[in-house]
Amino acid sequence: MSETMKAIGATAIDRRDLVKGAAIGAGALAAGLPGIAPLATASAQDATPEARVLEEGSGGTLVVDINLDPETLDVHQTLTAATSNVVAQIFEGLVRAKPGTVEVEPALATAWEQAADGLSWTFTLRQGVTFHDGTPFNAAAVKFAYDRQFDPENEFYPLGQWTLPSSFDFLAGTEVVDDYTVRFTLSKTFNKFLYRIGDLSIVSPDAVAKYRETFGENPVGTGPYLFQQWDKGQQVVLARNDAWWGGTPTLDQVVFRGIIEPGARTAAMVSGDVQIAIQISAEMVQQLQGNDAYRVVSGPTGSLWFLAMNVEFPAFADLKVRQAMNYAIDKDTLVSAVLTDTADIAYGPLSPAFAVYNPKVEEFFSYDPDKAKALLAEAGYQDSEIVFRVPIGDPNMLAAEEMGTVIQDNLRAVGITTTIQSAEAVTWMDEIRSPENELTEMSWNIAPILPDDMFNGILSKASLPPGFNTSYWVDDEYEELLAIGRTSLDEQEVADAYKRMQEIVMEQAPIVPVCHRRSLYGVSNTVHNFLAEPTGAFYLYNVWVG
Amino acid sequence: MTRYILRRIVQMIPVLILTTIFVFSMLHLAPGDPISLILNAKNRPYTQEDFDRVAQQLGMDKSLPMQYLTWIGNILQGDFGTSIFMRRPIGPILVERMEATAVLALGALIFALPIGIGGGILSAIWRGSIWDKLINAVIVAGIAFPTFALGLFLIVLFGVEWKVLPVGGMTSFGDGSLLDRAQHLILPAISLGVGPAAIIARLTRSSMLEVLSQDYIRTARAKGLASGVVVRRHAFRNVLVPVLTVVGLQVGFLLGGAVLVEIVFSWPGMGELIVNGIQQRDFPVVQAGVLVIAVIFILINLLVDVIYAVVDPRVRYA
Repeated sequence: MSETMKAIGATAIDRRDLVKGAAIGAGALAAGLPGIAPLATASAQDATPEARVLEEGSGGTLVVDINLDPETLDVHQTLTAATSNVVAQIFEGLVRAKPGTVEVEPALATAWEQAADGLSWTFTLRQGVTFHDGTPFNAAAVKFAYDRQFDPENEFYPLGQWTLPSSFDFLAGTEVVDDYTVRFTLSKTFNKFLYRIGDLSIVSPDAVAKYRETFGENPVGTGPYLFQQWDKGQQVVLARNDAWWGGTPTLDQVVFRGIIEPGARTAAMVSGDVQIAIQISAEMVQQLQGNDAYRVVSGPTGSLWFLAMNVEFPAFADLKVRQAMNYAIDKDTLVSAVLTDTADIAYGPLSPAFAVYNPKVEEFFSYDPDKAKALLAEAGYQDSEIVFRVPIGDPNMLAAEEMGTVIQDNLRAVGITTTIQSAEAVTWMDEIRSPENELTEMSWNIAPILPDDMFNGILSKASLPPGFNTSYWVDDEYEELLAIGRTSLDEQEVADAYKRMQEIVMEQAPIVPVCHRRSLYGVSNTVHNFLAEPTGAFYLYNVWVG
Repeated sequence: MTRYILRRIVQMIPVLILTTIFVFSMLHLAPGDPISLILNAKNRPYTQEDFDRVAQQLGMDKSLPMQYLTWIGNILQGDFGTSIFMRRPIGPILVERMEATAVLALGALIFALPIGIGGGILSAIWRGSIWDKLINAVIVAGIAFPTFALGLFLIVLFGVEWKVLPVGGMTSFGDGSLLDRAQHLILPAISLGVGPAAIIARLTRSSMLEVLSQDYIRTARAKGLASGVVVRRHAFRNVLVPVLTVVGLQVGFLLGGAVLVEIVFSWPGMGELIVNGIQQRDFPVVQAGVLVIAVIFILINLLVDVIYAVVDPRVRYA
């Protein structure tokens, strides 16, 4: 560690204590809501339903800054996380995440049953629900939502099919049993079917037929808030759906604005124009914490920020070198000084928010430059300039450039020289998925629900480029366990498989796990009952302003 | 005159063709493509099959020259294509965005013109005085100060500290009155207009000084005309010719270069559209946006040349 880094590290410790104090203080201001996890200490358990005390009250207009103007409000075509927060108020699925947990609870379906062979699921639908345009919700509407996205023969297929590709490849079809019963048939067993089916949002078939290409500007669903107005590039306005099946939603109106520039985001919040800002930066966290009128609401996620080493590149073909990399990185400084505790240290691929988290991963590596040097010596490592790729301007990559500089310094200290090659985010995405890539920063941002999304997303045979297995690492035992994890109907077997996979990743060390980002919302103290969901869901039906 | 204009319009065509080829190849040859972005949007695993399917849906499975010809063919029929990310036709999007940018540019111009020309003339008349030096200092500051920093400074001062003007957007939610629109326009128009105002002022000053040293001005003064009359009647029109050229160029700058101001003030204009389009590799949007700005730029230049010909008869016969 260089002298400068020591200095930064020292100030950061003071700052971290301040951050903790401020977060707890803000929590207390919000009438002692225990659900608001103080930064740096929270885990998924902090937000259990028992701990949630909701305040009585209703009304008000809530303005939410989602950082980007929505691309479309057709839920079947949205791409960005920003927009998903808007469409989640308008549309619903058959099931949803139980608030404060990663468990499934009924939404548009009231009950369900899995066939003994695991190859079909039958859902009983909620009766008396209507879409915002008055169209009745029934089994035909569910089938329509499915067909629009997955059946090339469907009249509206080209307008719907888009963003949910192979993650639904286990589905073979849907069938209307009666008005309020629908059956899904599977081509292969998929044990997390219930979680996935929540992503299938149900749209009003009549509205799709009526608006066609412009359905994205006239969205009609069943959700707690209904679409009112969209001034493009400015704001989307939603109004309360008094006929919502779940009771009367609290807010009169919800306005979504997409402010891009970080300084302008803070200004809009401080001037009172905005009451909730999603995905705020570490810098904005600090600015808001200096102000009594705001709090930072934060929660754990299933995201991973890591270094991917290309195992086909000579230097990283040697396990000892990859282990040395894992010993060389000072994660504590990265998380506390660079990210000011807006993330938690990562020891393995899965965050502790996953039910199948294996604490054994914590025993594999610690920050130990001497051990790293020894391992490099054993491996007979010949120092050559490794190209280390770093993206610019991707908020998902947190402070990518600052992180890169500290990591470069860490590696230099043990005798690994790197040249940082920065590139604009999309260019970088192309560069890292080529065999020439040696070493890169990476992140994978998912909810802590399906471990398969992580394992299959960044380290499987199926996700070799053009997918995102930029380590080019493939392991037979891991692949077998991956299949068990997806298809086995024995819960214990699945859990064991995922726990073992975490160990394999750390034994083989194709990546250096660095941190798990936290969800971060800037929230005005006039907002009540807003909580960070571990699933990343954005529930506003019982939030009120006053 | 008509022939002159016609000739100029015909000259536009090769420029436009080159522009389209340039924009198209820049985008398609640069690294990064919308397909991976779409498939990776939700960080779900995807396969080569998914990749090929989306490529086909976007018409990106064909060869580049083929894609270019299809695009140009559609443009000639008035079809700008569909945005990859917004999933709707680009034509109406361009209209919405152009309107916002035009309002902003006009606001900036209304701010910049009187201040720039007035400041330049006064500073020339008071040449060497403390006022001249003061105006010059402001001009240098105006040119040097980055627009986005000025924008943020104005936001903090007027929006956050004094709370007299809105911090961003084009209208308040639920209010679209003229007054509301004007209030939203003030800060971005000033941020955008300061640079052009300074450039216009500097040019007006030097142009004015040159005119004032001419013989016919001395003659006018010798006739015993008041200095105000000399400036108004004899000098001003001649000062306008070079100033007009620069104003024309500045309008082009205001239309294409309002990017930073638009982003700082969340102003839903062309600049913001194109920048987002580049970041999302929304090829059809960027292509259409750049094409439209190029056409406007060329048209404004043409317009300036025509006005030039009106103001200065020598141009017509050159």
